[in-house]
Amino acid sequence: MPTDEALVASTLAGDEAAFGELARRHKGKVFGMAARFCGNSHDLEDLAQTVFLRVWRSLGGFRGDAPFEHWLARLTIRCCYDFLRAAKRRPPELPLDAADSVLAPDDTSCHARETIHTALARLRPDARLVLTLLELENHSVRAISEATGWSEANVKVRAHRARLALKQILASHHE
Amino acid sequence: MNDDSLNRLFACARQLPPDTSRAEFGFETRLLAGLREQRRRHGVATLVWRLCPWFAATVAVLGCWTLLQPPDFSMASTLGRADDVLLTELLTGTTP
Repeated sequence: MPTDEALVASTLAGDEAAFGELARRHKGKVFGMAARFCGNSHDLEDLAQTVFLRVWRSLGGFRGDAPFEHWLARLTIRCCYDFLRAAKRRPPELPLDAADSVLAPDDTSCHARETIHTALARLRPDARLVLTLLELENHSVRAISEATGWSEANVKVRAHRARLALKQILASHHE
Repeated sequence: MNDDSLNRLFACARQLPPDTSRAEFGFETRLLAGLREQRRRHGVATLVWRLCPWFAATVAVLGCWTLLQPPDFSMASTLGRADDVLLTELLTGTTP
């Protein structure tokens, strides 16, 4: 089974099927992250396509000094951030009722996910990105810093402010 | 809402990653088709761009050729210019 690096080399040599194999291998992670930022499957498909088309165009810049997976994750984060900034749509007007019931023992993770997704959608793009990556995708501050180009201190400050804003959103609904 | 509640909310949300299996189905095929389409369009655009200097050169040559042509006194061109004097001269053979 060829490694990612071998598939990259084959793709650069013009082998389209190698790129298809790369996409097949890594689409799960790209879709998983992109789904945190998209409200519907149409946007999700578009965003995933954008990521892989950008991968196709940028493959020449992949030096191989880090695993392909890390390089792809950084590129995915940048695409997601671009997507958030470009989206001028209004945040979904979904109820935040789950915020009240999430602490109840019989509550489901599904409810919590919807609540968080709806509340995050009301944050600014940078705040949403930082909180999603830190809290939902379990990325380190350093990884976010490398992917976004912000300093680690800046990431921490943004995360702190984002948490405050998110708590306000959830609390205001609670009242 | 306090930090504890928010952390528990995040923990619950983490437990259930989004289900993207339907969107992922057949994605590579659609991606490669999109890629081929993009390359085809890019190929046409590149060809047109490369031909631009030739189009410009052809237009310039035709323009020069038209300007350097001697005046045309045929009936068709005289009729086109609607020059009464020349038309009379052409039809009668005499100068009015």
